[in-house]
Amino acid sequence: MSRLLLSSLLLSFVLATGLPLASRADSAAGAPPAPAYGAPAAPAAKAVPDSEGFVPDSRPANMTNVEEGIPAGPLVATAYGFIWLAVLAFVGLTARRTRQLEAEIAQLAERLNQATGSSPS
Amino acid sequence: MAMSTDPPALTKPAPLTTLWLLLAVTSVGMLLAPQLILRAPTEPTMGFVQRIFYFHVPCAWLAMLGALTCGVASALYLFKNSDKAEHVAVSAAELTVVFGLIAIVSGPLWARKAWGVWWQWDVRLTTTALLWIIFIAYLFARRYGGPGGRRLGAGLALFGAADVPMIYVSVSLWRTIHPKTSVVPTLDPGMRPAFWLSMVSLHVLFIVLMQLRVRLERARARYNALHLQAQDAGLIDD
Repeated sequence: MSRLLLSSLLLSFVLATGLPLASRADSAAGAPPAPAYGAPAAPAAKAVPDSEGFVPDSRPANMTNVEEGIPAGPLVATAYGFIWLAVLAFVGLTARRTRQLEAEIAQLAERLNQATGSSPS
Repeated sequence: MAMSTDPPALTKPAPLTTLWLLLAVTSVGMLLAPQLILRAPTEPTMGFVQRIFYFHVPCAWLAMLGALTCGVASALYLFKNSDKAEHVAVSAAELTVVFGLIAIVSGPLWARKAWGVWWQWDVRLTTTALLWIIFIAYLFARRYGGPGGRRLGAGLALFGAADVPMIYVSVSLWRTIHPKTSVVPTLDPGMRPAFWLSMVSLHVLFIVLMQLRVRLERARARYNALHLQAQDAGLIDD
């Protein structure tokens, strides 16, 4: 396994566990600790605008139409299915290119072998 | 022409048995993950659609990991003239495009239900789209850029890698509707097994795909060397 890839993977996991610019910035600003993501929500306190009038909200006013009847199941299934589709397409294309290339390599090596009377390097 | 100076063991592909083992690990993980995802507690605000989180986040991470890997390998190619590093770079770039595409497709499917829109020109979404476009440009430059295409692509990869920290900090530095980086550390305990199983399985899948792709690039290098030999021997005209 290459050292480069291992270092990248390690970095990925360190960052994924939240090396955290965000948490540090929040605690520096004296913000209360973030509630567990996915935990049942506490009764919502009214959001207070900051000095520029910005109201922190995970869902701006023009995006509150989430009660519409789009079923979540097909969205989740489509997203999960797309992963497999993309990965299988990548594997299929890579395997096909490798097979073609190996066939061409064998052909070229054979021709070189016949021409020079020794195996090509 | 400058000689290639490849650092030893930088890009040596894993033996096939290791690849099969890794493939088995990722297959088991990917088969178990949906079951754990379905059993994980439902997020109270967004409901069932939030389950996209379990594979959207790892895929977005892998896109960034690919971009960083490509950036470092491209720097090695540019400054140390390492052909093997270039093989890693192009493999990582293709994986960045694949996993970036998955993140860009799965994100809007989640957003449509959670935010009410498919897409928002939010800084996190925009910088991620930019990353994807940069690596598409890398592949085009390398494929169609002529004799200097590889070096041009390597330069683009450095820009792409520089976009990664910007994507990471974007949710902290700018006002954004995208969830922050504090989500994973503060994840509800019931959600952790599903998330970490997905994360590990997809990372292992990334390693397997990377190794397969590097093998292809090595085969291509072998073909090019043979092609030159055949030309020298007068077997091929062009």
